[in-house]
Amino acid sequence: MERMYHMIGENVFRICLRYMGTRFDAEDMLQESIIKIYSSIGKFKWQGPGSFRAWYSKVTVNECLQKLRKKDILQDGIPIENVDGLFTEPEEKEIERIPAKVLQKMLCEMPDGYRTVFNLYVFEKKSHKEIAGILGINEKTSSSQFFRARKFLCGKIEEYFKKSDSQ
Amino acid sequence: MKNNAENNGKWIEAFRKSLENSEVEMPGGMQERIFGRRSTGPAWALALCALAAAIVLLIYPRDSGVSDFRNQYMAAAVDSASEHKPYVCEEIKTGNIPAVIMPIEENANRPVRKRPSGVYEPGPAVSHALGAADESVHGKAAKSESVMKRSAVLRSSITEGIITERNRPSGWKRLSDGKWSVSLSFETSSSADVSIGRESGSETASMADVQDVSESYYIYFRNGVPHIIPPSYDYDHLQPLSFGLGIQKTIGEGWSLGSGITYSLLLARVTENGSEHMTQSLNYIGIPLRIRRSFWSRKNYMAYAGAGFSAAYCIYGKRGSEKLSLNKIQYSLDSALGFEYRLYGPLGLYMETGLSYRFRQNLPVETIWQKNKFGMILQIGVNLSY
Repeated sequence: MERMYHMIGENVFRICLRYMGTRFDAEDMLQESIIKIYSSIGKFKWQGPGSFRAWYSKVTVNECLQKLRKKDILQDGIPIENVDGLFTEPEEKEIERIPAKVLQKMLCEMPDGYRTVFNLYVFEKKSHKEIAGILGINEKTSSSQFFRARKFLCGKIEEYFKKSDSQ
Repeated sequence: MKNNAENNGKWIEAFRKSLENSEVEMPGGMQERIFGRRSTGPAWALALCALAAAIVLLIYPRDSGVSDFRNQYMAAAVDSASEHKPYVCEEIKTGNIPAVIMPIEENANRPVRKRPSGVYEPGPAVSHALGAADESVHGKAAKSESVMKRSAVLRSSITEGIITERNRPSGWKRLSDGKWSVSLSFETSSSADVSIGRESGSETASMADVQDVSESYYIYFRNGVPHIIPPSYDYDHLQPLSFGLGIQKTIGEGWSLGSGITYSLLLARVTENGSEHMTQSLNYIGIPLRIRRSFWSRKNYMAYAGAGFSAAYCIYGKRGSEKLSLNKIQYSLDSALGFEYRLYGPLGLYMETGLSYRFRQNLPVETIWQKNKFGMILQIGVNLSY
C-alpha cells in the first residue's frame, strides 16, 4: 500500500494542487484521494499502458470537484467584460520561459470557479458541454468562465514579464 | 506578446505541458496521516518503564552516621597535614583526654590522598593520628573502660571502613549509601542466520484482499482481475550490534536498579526473487529496565545476576533504496550473568552474558530478532561510580 503511495502520490498531489489552489487544501485532498483510490481499486480495469494513471487521475479530479461543489465555486469571480481582444495573449515561447512553480502559483491565485473550468478544459480535455454536465451549469457559463480564466492568466503573465524586465 | 487568435491554443498547450509533469514538494508526514498507525504497545509496559525511570531518578542517597563521622575526621586530617598545626577532634574528646592529631613534619606538605569516590585511603597524617589517638588514650593515665571502649569502637569503625572501601570494587561499595553508577556498553548477540523467505506464486484476489494487501505484495492486473504476487526474499542476517548508556542506582544491600538508552543496528543482506541484491538496515533506539543482584565479591571482583525488560523502537529503516516504516515497538525479556573488575577508583570493567527473548511482531520485513526470538547476548562495558 505504501509502495503504491510512493508511485502515484506525486501525480495525485499535483492534480490536487491544480484544483484546490492552496497547499493546505491540496494536502487534505491528497489524503482523501489516496484513500478513495485504494478503496475503489477493485473497479480498475487494465486497458494498456497509461490506463492506471488515467484512472487514478480521474478519481482524484472527481474527489476535488466534489469538494469544490460544496464551496459553490461558481459564485467566485471578478466581473469581466466579455469582449474579445481586451487582453493580449502570450506566445508559446514566453510560457516556456516561465518556471513551472510560477505558473502553478498563477493558477492557484485564480478564483476557484475559473480554475475549475480551466483545469477541466485544458488538463482533462473536456468540452464545455461536458463541463456543464459535470458542474451542473450551462454551456455558456462554462465558456465565459474559461474566457475569464484565460484573461486572468494573461494578466498575471504580463505582470510577471514586467517585473522581470524591470529587474 | 501578440494578440493572435491562432496563438490561443498554443500558449495554453504550453501552459499545460509545463504543469503536467512539474515537480511538486510532497507534504511531510502524509504516510502517517493516511496509513495511520503508530503502535505504542501495551499501556502497562510503558507505564512500567516510566515508573522505573522515575524511581531511578528520584531516589536520593541516604547518609549513614559512620560516613558523617569519617568525613569530619578526614577533614581534620587534611587540615592538619596542610596547616602544620595540631587539631583537636571534638568528636573524640572524652573527658579530659582529647585525641591530638599531629602532622608528620617530613610529610607536612603532602596532602592526604582522597579517592574521588569517597573512599578514604589513610595517608601518613591519619595513620599517625590513629597512632596518636591510641597513645593519647592508652598511654595516658585515664584508662576508664568507657574511654577505651570508645576509642576501640572508633578505631575499628575507621579502619574497617577504610579496609572495606579499599577492597570493595566500584559500583557496589557501601551499598547502603545509595550510590549511582553510569555505564557505557557494547553488546552483540548470537550468530547470524540464513533464512529463506516466502516462495513466489500468485493467487487471484478478491476486492477485499486487494484493499488489505500489505506492502510486501505486488498487485498484478490481468484481464481486469487483480492478482496478488508475494515476492520471495532470502535474508542473510548479520550479527546485531548494540551500544548503550546506562545508569544504575543501588536500592538495597546487593540490589540495584538500572535503566538507560541503547542503540541497536540490525543489518541483513536481502535477495529479492533470487536476483536483486540489497541491504536492509534497521536502527533501533531502546530503553532497558534491569534489576541486578550481586552474589559474590572478593577484593576487586564481583559477580552478579540480573533480569530485565526492554522496549526498542525502529527510528529508521531502509531496504535497498526503500525506506521502511515499521511503527512497532520491539519488547524483550533479558536475563544476565555478569562479572565486574574494578580497574582503578570509580572505574570498573564488566562483562555479562545472558539470554534474551524477543516478543513476536508482525513486521513487513524479517529481522534477526524475529527469526531467532531466543538469543545469547554478550555485553562488555565500563562502569563509573560516584
